[in-house]
This record gives sequence, structure tokens and C-alpha cells, in this order.
Amino acid sequence: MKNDADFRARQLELIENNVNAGKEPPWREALKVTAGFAAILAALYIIIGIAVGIYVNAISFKTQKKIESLFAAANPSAEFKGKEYAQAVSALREISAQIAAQNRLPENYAPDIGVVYSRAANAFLTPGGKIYFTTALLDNVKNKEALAFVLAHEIGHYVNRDHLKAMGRGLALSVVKILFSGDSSTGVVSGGTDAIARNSYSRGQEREADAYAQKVCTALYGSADGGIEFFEYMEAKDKLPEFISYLSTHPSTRSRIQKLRNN
Amino acid sequence: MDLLILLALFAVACITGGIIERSHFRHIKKREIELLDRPYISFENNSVDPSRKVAQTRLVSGNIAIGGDYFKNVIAGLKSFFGGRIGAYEPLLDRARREALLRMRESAPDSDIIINVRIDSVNLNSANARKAPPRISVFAYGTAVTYEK
Repeated sequence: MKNDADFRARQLELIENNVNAGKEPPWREALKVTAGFAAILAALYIIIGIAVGIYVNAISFKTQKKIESLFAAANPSAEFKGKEYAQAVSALREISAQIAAQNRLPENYAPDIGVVYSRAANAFLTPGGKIYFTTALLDNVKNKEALAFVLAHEIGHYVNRDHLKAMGRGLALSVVKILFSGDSSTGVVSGGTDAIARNSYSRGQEREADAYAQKVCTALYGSADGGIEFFEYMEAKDKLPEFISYLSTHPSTRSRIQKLRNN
Repeated sequence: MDLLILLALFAVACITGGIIERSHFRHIKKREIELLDRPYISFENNSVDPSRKVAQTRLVSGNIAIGGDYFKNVIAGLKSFFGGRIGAYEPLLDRARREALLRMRESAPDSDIIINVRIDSVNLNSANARKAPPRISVFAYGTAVTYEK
């Protein structure tokens, strides 16, 4: 039983042009699949972020307190427990109460103050709604009005619920990370607190918090000069070129001073 | 850092996997062309030439165990989210089947025709080895018929 010439030619053709395996090179398939995945995950991140923003804006203050109480235990690990800053903290608590008394906070609730050890002058708001000042900030900035401006800025974030929005985005990011890597060992909740530790607010949120602090300080002291003094200290300290500020989330210090002077 | 290591492994597996695959295909093609005039069919014994007397029949088989690379595994894993053709696995399975058939045919060099050819495959991964690369064994067998001279 011999194959005829046609059959033979067809067999040769099949050997040369294999129909059972796709012609697409594997790296192109890999690129397509990864691009598809990245697009889906990015869309997921944006949608969760927007949904969290809408939800956080809509909830009542009671619900806000309930959410914050879930994170009350998640205080910074470098929390300063010593008595050295007791005076500064009680002064800040007093200012916090004064701001609350201006009817600028829901139910006149005054956020609590804490101190955290750090060599970077900074203040931040935790998901639990507590405001922390770093030791470096309290060591270097002694002016009461300047500290009041920083405190009012953080309270501005609190009133705008920026801490909860940032936490929501952190949660979205960790959900996306878990979906991508299939590894849930890092946990969803830690993602939320991570975002807070990085102080990841948008420039718009920072500007609104500045505007809030300006209103509060003007009502308390007649001017927001404390804010100008604080920003001048920050500017002298880090001496970063102006253009770098475009890479960071905070508006540049000089533009913030400008804004305070103009209003 | 973890991501860099992952990408490096990915690239290495993509390159080495590609080289191995191309050389295997070249080897398969060469042998298939050499064996082109030696028929093997999946019909049963009615395809034996009735005008000739059968001297001998025996079972011949060819077997191969083949594994995919890390790169293919990752693409296939991602691809199975969307569904559709898993292009990365097709050449792998094609190589396995053709190689098994070639080994079967090469194990009967003196026969005139191999009839009743069948192919079986076995998944070598245990059912719960979710992240393991694909490993399959393909087994081809048939009846080699030799006519009287």
C-alpha cells in the first residue's frame, strides 16, 4: 500500500504548516493577557475608589465613629509614651477643643492628639481618627499658632473624611494586589492602614485642608500667619527644588504660602 | 524585588522554552518526513491489503512524558481567567502527540503498516497541584502488520 503523489504532498504540507498549534508567538500572547489583566485591575481600583468616596461622603457621623472605632487599636508602632511632650499635647488638646467649639466639627467632637517618634517633622491622621504629631515637629516648631495651623489642617482632613477615603483606596489597592498575586497573606486591612502611614491624600484634599485650617486660624487668632510660619520652616528645612513638588502628593510649600497670603 | 526575580524567571523560561520547542519541532519534522512512506492508520484490520498474506502482527507503542515551562504556565493561568484558546499549551500538546506517534512508528521499522492506532494521555500533575507547570504523558499504540515477502 503506497501513498500516491497527491497524498504525499498533502502530508508534507501538513508537516511544514502545522495546524494543531497556533502561530502566535507566546510572548505576544503573554503581553495581551497581562495588558487585559492590568486594564481590569486598574478599572477595579478606580471603581472601588470612587464607590468608597461616595459611601464615605454619604455616611452619618455615627457610622463614621463606628468605622473609626474598628481601627482605634491600630495606632502607630512608634507612639511616644513618655511625659516629655505632655505640656505640648495638652496645649494641642485645648486648641482642638477650641476648634470643636467653633461648631466646625460634627457634634463638636474634638479629635484626640498623640505623639509619635520620628525625625521627620510631620503630623498625620490615623484611620481611627486620632491626630499624631511627630517629636521632630514638636521639637522644632514652638509657635502656638503654627502648631494650631497644623492641627487645624489635620482636623480639616478629618472633617472631609479624607482619612477614610485614603483607607478605602488602600483597601482597594490591597484587594487588587491579592487578585493579581493570588497571595492573601498580607491581608486586606493592613493595606488600609498602610495608605494612612504614607499620608496618601491628593493635592486637592491637601488644598481643602489648608483652606479649612486658614478659616479656623483666622477665626481663632485673626490671621493664618501661623501657617505661613510653619510652611516657611518646612521650606527652610527641606530645601527641595520647587519642581520636585510635582512628584509628591502635597502641593509645593511655596504655592501653599502664596495661597495663604493671597486670601 | 520579588517582582524583578519573577520577571527574570519569566524571561529565562520564555527564551529557553522557545529554544527547546523550536529544536524539538525541527527534530519531529525531520523524522516525519523520513517516515512519510510508512503508513499508520486508525482503521482496524479491514485496511490490511487482502491480496497479501500477513506474516506477523504485534503491538507497538511509543510513549513520552513532557512538561511545559514556567512561562507557559503563567500565561495559561492568566488566560484561564478570560477563557478561550490557550495558545501556549497547543504546541506542547502537539509536540507530545507527534513525538509519541513517531516513537511508536520507529519501534516497528520492519513492518508494512500500523493499524488501529490509538492515543492516550495522562495528566502527571496531582489534582491539587494548582501552581505546578503542566506535565503530561502521551502514549500511542497500534498493531504493526508485516506481510510475507
